[in-house]
Amino acid sequence: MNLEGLRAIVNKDEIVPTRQASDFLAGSQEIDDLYKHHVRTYIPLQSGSDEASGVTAFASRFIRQVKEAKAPRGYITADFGYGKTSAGLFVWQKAQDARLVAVPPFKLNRLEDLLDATAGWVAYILGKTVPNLVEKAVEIYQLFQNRELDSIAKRYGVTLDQAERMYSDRALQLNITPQDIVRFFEQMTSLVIDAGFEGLVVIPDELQQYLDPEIKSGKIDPLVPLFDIITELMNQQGKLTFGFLMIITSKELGVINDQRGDLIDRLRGNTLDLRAIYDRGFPARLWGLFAETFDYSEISDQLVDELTLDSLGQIASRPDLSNGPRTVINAFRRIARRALDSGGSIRPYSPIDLVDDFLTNQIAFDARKLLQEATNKALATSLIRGNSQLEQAIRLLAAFPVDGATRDVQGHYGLLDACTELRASGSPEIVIEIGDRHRPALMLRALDVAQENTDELSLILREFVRNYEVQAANQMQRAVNSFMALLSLVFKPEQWSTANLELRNFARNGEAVFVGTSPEMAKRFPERTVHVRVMGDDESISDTRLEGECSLVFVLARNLDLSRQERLKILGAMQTDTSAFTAAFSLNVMLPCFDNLNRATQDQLRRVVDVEDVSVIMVLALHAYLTEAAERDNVSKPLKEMIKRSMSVRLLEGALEVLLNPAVGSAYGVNGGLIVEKAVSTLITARYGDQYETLITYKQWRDNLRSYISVLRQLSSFAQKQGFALVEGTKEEIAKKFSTTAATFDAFQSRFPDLLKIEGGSFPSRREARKSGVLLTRHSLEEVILNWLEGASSITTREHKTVRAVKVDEVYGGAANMGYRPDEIKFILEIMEARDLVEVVGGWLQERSRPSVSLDVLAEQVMRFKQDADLLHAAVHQDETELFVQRGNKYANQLKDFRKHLKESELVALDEQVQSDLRLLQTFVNRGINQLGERAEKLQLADLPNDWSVTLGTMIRASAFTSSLNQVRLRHGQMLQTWNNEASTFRERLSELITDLANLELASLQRFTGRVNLLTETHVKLNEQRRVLDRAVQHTTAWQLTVNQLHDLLEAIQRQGEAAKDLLAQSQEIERTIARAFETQAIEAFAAADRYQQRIAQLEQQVAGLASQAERKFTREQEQYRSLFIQKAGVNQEKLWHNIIHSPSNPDGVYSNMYQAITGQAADLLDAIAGDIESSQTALFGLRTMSGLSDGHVGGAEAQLVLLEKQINQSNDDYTSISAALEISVRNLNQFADWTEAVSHLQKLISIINAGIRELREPIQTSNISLNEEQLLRNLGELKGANNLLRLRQKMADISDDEFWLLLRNMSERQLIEVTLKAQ
Amino acid sequence: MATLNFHVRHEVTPERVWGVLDAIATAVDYLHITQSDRQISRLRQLGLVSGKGTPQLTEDGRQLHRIGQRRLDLVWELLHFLHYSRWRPNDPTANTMFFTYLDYCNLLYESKTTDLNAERDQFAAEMTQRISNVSYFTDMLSELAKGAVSLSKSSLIGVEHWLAKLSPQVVANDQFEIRQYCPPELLLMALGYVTEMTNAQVGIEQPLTDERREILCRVCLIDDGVLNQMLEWLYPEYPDLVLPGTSTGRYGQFVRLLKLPSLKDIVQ
Repeated sequence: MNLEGLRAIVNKDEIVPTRQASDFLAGSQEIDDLYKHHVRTYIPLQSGSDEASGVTAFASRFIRQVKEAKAPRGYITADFGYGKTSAGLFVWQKAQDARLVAVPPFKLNRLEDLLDATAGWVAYILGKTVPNLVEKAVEIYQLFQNRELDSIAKRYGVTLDQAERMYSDRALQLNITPQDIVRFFEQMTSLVIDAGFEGLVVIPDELQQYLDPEIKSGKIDPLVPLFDIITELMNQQGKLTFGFLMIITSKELGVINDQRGDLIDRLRGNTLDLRAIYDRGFPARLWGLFAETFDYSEISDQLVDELTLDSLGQIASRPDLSNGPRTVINAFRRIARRALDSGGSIRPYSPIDLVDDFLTNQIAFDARKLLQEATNKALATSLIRGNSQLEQAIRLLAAFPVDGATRDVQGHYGLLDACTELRASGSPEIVIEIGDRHRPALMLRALDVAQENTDELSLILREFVRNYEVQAANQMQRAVNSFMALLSLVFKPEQWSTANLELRNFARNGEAVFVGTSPEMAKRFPERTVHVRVMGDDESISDTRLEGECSLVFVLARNLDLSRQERLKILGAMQTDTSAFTAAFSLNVMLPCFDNLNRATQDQLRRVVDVEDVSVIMVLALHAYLTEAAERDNVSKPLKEMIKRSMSVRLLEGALEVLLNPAVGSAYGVNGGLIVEKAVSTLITARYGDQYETLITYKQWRDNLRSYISVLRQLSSFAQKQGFALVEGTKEEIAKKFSTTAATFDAFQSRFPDLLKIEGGSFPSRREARKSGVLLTRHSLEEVILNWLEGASSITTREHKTVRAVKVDEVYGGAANMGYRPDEIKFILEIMEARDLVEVVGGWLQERSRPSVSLDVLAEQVMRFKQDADLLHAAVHQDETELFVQRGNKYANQLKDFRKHLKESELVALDEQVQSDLRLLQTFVNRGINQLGERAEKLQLADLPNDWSVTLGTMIRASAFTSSLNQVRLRHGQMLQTWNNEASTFRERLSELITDLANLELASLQRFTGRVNLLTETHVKLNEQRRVLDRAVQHTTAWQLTVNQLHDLLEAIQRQGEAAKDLLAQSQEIERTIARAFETQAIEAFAAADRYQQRIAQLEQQVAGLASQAERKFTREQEQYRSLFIQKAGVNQEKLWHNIIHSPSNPDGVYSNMYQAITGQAADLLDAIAGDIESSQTALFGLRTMSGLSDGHVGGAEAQLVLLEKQINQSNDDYTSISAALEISVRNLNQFADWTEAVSHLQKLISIINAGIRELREPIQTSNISLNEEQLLRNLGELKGANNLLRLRQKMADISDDEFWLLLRNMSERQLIEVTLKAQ
Repeated sequence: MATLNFHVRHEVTPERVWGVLDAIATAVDYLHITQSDRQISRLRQLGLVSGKGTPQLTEDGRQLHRIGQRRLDLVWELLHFLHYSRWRPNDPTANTMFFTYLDYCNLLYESKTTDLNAERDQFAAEMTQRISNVSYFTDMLSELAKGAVSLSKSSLIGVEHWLAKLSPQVVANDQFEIRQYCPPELLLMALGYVTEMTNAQVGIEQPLTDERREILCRVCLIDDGVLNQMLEWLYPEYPDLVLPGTSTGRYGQFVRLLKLPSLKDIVQ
């Protein structure tokens, strides 16, 4: 057996003394040793199997975040004793393992402690690893730690004077700031990274040391700098491989959260709440881990009982009995020590051993020593003292202060009998029983968590328990009266009212009368009365009177004559007697009830009574007791209200659940209050069955019936009042009569289906044409009352008529026996009065006096009505007339019934309906006759238009197909003739009919209808033929048009000549198509003229297109010819022929005209050229004779003259050639262009010749003109064309004749003048 | 521009609202209930009936109906709570009608005991003044016409209907008086409300500061003197939802809400 591992537990301290920050400056080595010693035996736990909730997972997560430079900020929290520091140390160790420098937990009393602890620890770690950096660590520390002004001045590079001034101006504070602290962390982190580590973690512990005094003093808010540090660190996220992990109690955490919720928000994600880990199963889990870690698994079970670990879990979960995990560790040390001291003979550590260790102060962490006090107190009682078994039992119970020691536990330690005795004798003073009935447990009363409560409710409950005795008569009285109160849970106030309630007393049973209904029967039987009697098993029925429509008897039985075991087997029963309308409930009030109570009540009761003893009768009695207590003056108002509003109701609910259990309700398969509802429903149904049809269909039923009565009163028709005749109208109109809306009328009607029926089941939609309305039918109770009246023996005289009567009281009594409420009966009687059926006179209900109707007379009228209805329907066959037939049959059948069993009101109603229908029928007959006349008038036939015969008689112009076409036309012409003949006959017959109609009667209506029908048929036929003829006329007209169109088209095509060759073929194809159509289907072809018109129109367009094209071509050509004349031949535009206008009807003619004009124009041009050539020749001749030139005075003149002569000859040749080419060139534009080119060329040659002539002549002409020559030229000018030589001579009189003639000769030779001779 | 409605309709009453909710839950006709459309509208505003179209109960609506089958008295308390807690300062211009409810409850709470008949007129004027000056609404109200907030007696009666149904009573015979007891269920819901309103954390002990105590008392309309007792009675009833925190130490009493309670948690 290896017990060595246990030494580690023995040496394990429960408390890790967190060191002061200042200790780190000089004593880090010692701290390191101390913490390492502790952490070696630390077992990280998790909550059950949830690894993520555990300390290890938390540490890993936090360290990872440090390494990822997320500057994580977090906290570990729990109450005192939960090992927060140990968990912090575990994180510290893991951080160091991960190559981080981790400052272990230190007390945080002030912010400067963060500097002291960090600097001390970093210096210590660097001293062991990179000693040369220690000095740097110290330097950083001093930089931030020294708050002296000279140090600050040095740090920020200002003079001491300046620093002092800043301080006095409050621009500088000497306390360390959060920003400084974070900068310090930054520099220290940087240093440790330089030293080869991966980051820095700081774990301040016991934050309450820092927070408490400050918060309490209220001077400064310590949370502000803390918040600022956290916020500053947040800003370092992603930059700084630094972690800040605070250790804080849950209470302080609550305070922080309350005051600075945002601070907690900033820590979210890195929080560890150890309370979630240290649950009741913690000791067992830890023990298992210890065994594994310290290598004693194989003997683990021998060292301690499993039940002890559970006991330890219960004790550790009670902060008033222990210090949580610390107490557990303490106990484990004790177990380990005991094993080590056992010398090898180990006995498992039991719960009793544990309690003994508490009692002997071997367990140090015992909170307020309550466990010792409670146990010792119990041990000291006279009942226990000296009885070793009972003493052991007390110790055992003390070990289970939460769930108590169950019977299994008691038996396991051989203390079952002792515990039973304790329960019997020491309960509830020393022990109390807790837990549910199936797993009861015993615990020391003084250790009950609620024991300390000495509040007034506990006192009252104790008072009750002290005086409670199940057999006592007053308990049953209380139970019965509480059961009366419990009935309000069954007969709920929202459904039932309590008409009477009598509590039990010495003289009578507890009784109540409830009026109302349950959901179960609310629709059929509202407002029922139920009589309830509640009895204890110690009383008998004091009064057998039944006040309701059914009766329930509840007997509360204790079955005291039976053993407890037998008693508990009785679950209760219910029996119904439907003939007596009663149900008897036998309920066992001794059944246990604790489990059925609400948790708060259980909690209260457990403090004062053995839960096993909590039976229904106790609960009921307690209810009564509390109700009485709540009336006491010395009870506080809250408690009074709590008892009244909560506890008493919960007690009754619990009792109800147990008493009205499924066994009692087995007949209905329900439990609870539903059993009673079902029983009442069964009894009421048995009593009234189907004879009761309620009017109480909903809350406002009276208002609705008042509307109904009002409508009845407004009706004048007796038949309508009886629901025999329809009250017509749309839904809106009917709803308005009933003072409701169309939207809610359906609901209104559905509540009173007996009284109100919609014709056809529902109102027609607006699109449906049928009439609708409602029938105000009689309720079944009305019929019953009418029957009573009919059978009544009492007869009275009213308005000289004998009427039957019954007493109103008897009516009420009779209807009540059927289940009707007085109000319902009252309304039914009012309805009957409104229907004019009855009247109430002096306590009597009597028939209403009505005019007498003779059955025989009515029968005769019905017969007549039926006959006329048949005749009318045979003649007109309409829905309405069919309705008359049906009504006639109905009335005839009713009359048959009346002959067997006459009911006067029905007879009166029938008479009214027959009279009304007779009038209505006559209206329909008159309408039928009128309609026949109107139909005949409408049969007048108009003549055919005169032009139809002309159109159909006119031959259609000849074409390829007109032969067939004309045949069709001729056939229609014959038809027109036949129509005229038939129309003539028709008119004669119609005229006869109209004459006969003047004397029409119903009897001959059918025959006349036949005649009108026949004429109508002919009228229809003739009109049909008229339409055929109409179409034939239209078609003939269309064909005339089409044929003409075709002719015109052909002419137009022909005019276009060759260009329209294709069009001609197409038009011929159309003709052929039409011809073929007439050959195959002449009738269809006849109707299809328009089809061809369209095609012809297309061809017409094409022809028109051709014409337009020819015009454009002509115009263009003419313009080109004109242009050639202008541009090539230099003809002035004004001199050209007038534009020739194109004529589509004579295209060749216009071309001929144009060529003629061109030829003329060209001839004029040639004439002009010939003239020019001749002039040139004359000029040449003149030059040869010109003085000064011919005499050789001008050098080279002769050569020039020769050239000119040659050129003139050439021009003569050209002219000849051009003249000859004219005729063949005119009709071809290109050739004509060449021709004009040649003309142009010739004109240029002539110009050259003329220039040559001028060149030779002008020098001679313009040189040496004498005065006489000048004068002669001047005189010639003055003579203005009258160049008579004699006149010229007269003007030149100053010279001699010779001089004159010489002058003329010279000037002529020089060609200054031209001499023309003319014979006189 | 949206307008702010501070009027609490007096024709909407607890019985009618419950009648309609019950009818929807049991699929029966509710048209006979006076102004059923307005009752439905209130149910929608309270989140008990879903948005548009045919009215259907939300999860909260179903839960409230479930509670009502066993404890109708609790339904009135919870409806009061829903009215009181509907308006939230983080969305102040939404559900402003419920601000009137909350503020009138607070006004009455401050008065402790009041003759409503005698004071109602003055309260209406005071409420109008209070609402007009509340910073939450000043921006929107400044854009509205003068006199945009005008509460009448009927608005206050619209609130009183719901208070009159509380048990123990706070309104009886036109007298208002804060009570000495409230059902644990209301206090539980109020604790959830306080947790949200004071940004406390679920699962972490929250000190019962004066502010929190006052909110709890206002919601539950109970005297501060009985709050501790009410809490004591609450803890054993709903141990899975709320635990007593420590009451030792300097900071006074704490409470630890394990989760935000909902109607689903009530009377399981």
